[in-house]
Amino acid sequence: MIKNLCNLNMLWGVLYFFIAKASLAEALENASSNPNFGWYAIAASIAIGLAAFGGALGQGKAAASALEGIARNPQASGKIFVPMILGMALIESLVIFSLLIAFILSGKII
Amino acid sequence: MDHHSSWFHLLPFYDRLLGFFQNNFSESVIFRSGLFPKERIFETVHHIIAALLVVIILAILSLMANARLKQIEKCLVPSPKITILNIFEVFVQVVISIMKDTIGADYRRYVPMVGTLALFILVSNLIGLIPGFISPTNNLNTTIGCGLLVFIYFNIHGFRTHGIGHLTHLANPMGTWWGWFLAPLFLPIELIGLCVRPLSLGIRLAGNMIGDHKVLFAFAGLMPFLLPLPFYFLGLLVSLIQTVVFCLLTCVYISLHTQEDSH
Repeated sequence: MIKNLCNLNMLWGVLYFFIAKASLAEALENASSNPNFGWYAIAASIAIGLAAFGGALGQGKAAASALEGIARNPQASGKIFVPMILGMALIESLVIFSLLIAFILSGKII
Repeated sequence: MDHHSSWFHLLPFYDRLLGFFQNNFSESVIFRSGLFPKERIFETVHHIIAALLVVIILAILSLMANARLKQIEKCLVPSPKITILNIFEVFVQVVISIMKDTIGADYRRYVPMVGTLALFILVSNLIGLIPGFISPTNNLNTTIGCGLLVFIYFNIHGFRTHGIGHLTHLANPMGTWWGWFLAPLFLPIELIGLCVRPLSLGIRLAGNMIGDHKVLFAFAGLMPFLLPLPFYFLGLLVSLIQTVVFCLLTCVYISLHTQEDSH
């Protein structure tokens, strides 16, 4: 039991805890001149998170129906592939719009 | 986005050009890089020179292919190796097949514009993957410029086909006599939908390229040895797909506005 307590991995955990504490203290005292610094960060993360979630759902549905079509008729895979890629690029463009907003917001933090 | 150096710094007139723009235009909105308000205009001059480089490369390649085409006896039978003519033939085949599927029988008069846009966007996207070069489509100015070209082009062809019917189709899409009572509802929505098209084309292309380059730089900064390899593959794929999407949407917009009266 003493060997379990003095496990070397726990020493890594202790080291990470002190490093995180130091970096948190440094981040707290390094607030930028803009008072809304924290809100911009939260807004950028929420924007890109929701966009990635919705985009993944949409593209998953598109890929699922394309794969089912190929499974029914393997010879049509060439004809199915191009509209699938096109549909995915159009769905992804909405995610890209939200990514640009996240970039603008994260640029304001600087 | 940091100001990263590129091969363009080796050009002799580059510093004087940068200095001229920064001294005279640094407070103007037009020359800002577009996304970050604190960035000044170093990025913009990069992209103009990069676009010039793309145009020079395309001109040289086209002249080589044209010179080979002039010798008719040699090119009746296509050669089995990869020559510059074969690459152009594959490219033209793909573009024409896209146009034939969307526009239909009348596609030949639109080939110059769509083909030029496709060539320019493809080579611009691909040049950004080479370390040290900057792709001109990385910047919002270039891509919204391409979008505005498409906007003007399909409007001109809409007016050519339908005359003033181009605008009345927006107000009264169904063509019935009682559709005119709904026109105050339809017209703003259709106008906004029409005017957003060049913006969406431009932002889609620029956003894809900016995001792709950012990911590449992030992973190359992390471990430059072997880690960026799948991201280079992704970059190739994204460049190709974005060109195809741009051209396909251009053809769809042209076909929407030039189809003969189908009701």
